Amino acid sequence: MTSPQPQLVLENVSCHFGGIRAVNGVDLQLDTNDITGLVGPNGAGKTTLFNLITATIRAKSGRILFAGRNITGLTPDAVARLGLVRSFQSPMTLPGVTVREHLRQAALFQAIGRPSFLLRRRRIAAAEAQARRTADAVLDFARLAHVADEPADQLAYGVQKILGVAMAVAAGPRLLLADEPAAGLNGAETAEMERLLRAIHEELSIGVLVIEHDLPMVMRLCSHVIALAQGTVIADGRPHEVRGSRAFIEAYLGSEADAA
Amino acid sequence: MQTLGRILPWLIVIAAIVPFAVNGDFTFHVAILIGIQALLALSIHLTLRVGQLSLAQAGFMGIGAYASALFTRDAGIPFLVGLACAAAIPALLAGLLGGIILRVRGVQFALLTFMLGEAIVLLFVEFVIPFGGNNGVMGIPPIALFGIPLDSRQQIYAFVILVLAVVYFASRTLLRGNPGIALRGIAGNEALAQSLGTDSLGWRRVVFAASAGIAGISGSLYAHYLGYISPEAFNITTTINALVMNVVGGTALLVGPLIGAILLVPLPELFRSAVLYQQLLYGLSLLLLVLFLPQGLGSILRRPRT
Repeated sequence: MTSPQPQLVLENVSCHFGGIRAVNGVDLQLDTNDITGLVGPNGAGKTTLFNLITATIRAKSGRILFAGRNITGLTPDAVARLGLVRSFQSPMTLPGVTVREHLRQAALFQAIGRPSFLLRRRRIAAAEAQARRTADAVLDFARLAHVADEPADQLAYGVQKILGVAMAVAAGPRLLLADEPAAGLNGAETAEMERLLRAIHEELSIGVLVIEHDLPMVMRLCSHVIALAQGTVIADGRPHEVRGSRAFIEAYLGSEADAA
Repeated sequence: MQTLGRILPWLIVIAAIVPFAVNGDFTFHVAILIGIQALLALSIHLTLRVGQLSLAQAGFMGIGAYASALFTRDAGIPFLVGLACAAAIPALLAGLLGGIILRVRGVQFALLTFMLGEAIVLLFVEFVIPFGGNNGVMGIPPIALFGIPLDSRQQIYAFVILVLAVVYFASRTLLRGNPGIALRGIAGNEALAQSLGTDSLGWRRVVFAASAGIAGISGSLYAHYLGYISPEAFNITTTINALVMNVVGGTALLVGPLIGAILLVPLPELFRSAVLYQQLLYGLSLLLLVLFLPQGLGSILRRPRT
């Protein structure tokens, strides 16, 4: 644990939409050896924080560092190539493309993502072979082999969400950011998603940062929990510490907690 | 994709045989114009593939035409070098400008490029030296390969078809291979492609630059074939005509702009006698086409997927 870890560090990061402070002076650190849970009521700024980390939106102030490198102001694709890859809250697919091809392309974008690859064509054959192997491996890993050759946009909602996380894995991340992976899934699908996230962490040694409303799942899965409310960090620590903290209870239950 | 392979040999056969079979200078004249317009239509097609309609293409064609014409006429540069400049200058310009204007999307991008195209034409009009103002540039040397001018229309036609074939297959390589994966990703779901590491702006810049280069090539061929250019040849009407070729031929297929050019370029020449009704018939047929074949004529050739 003392070896140099690629760590994600946010320093006083803020983002305002008009007068609304969606994310307000957030400081946080997380280790890519952990599964970290990001929790908080609706509108707390969780997805905005994800968008800031993955550079989909720009921070108004503050710095974001990954593995000691300042990534503030990079483009989303550059952040992804550095190893910060996200999955989306609602399933994202390419129209008419099979599951296997989605995973192959996800694995290939690291090599062909920038047009400059046209100037280094020799490496492409190796990258293509590697992408095919990665796609096959991830198909098994995410238990998607039975739908490998079906068009992804025709799949059930839950399977598409599994595919979303699987694509992020195929892209070869160091830290995977999963935005509400279990939202909208039934019991069996939620269990499968939980298994997948745990396997990503334990078997592939990829760090995971997960936004999730399913608190019992967060408690089971995460070794580190960060709670947000109204754009600020209100609790940060081990799962039971966060759940037991007064600020966290108040944020979820409001003034009723005081009355109780 | 199989459709392309199926029609393409036929298009090549038709292109190779028809003008020689009819064998008239006029047929070759129209065929050359088809080739030149097909290049311009192809350049618009590429911008459509990344979901950004550029209306500056005739402007880029103009830059290619003026660059090639002036370099060969006044500086004595060989035609092929002029042709290379005609491709490189607009491509470079588009690559540089693209870094800024491609951030704008949708209708705003179309309007921005419309203004860019008109601004380019205005430069040709206002700067009489070296562009000749409204009088344009005259006495442009003919197409010559390694010092030997192509003096018959048959030869020029063969050269234009060769250039078109090279550009077509280069575009096809771009759209099919690994770059095609990135481009389809950007067009299909940009947020997803970006989240997995695709440099969306970078790829759109490359495509915009390539499209401007192709338009420039078209301009060079145009200038050296006619021997005379003037600014109004490169205004928005030229771009719109090339866009219509894409719509008529089909915007989803790379052969679409070629089919459109083959059908639309000869029309004004054929209906010279009925000039009064030409625009009316043109508009009506376009309306019917968009109503009943919204995917373009190319869609007839595409077999339904099983």
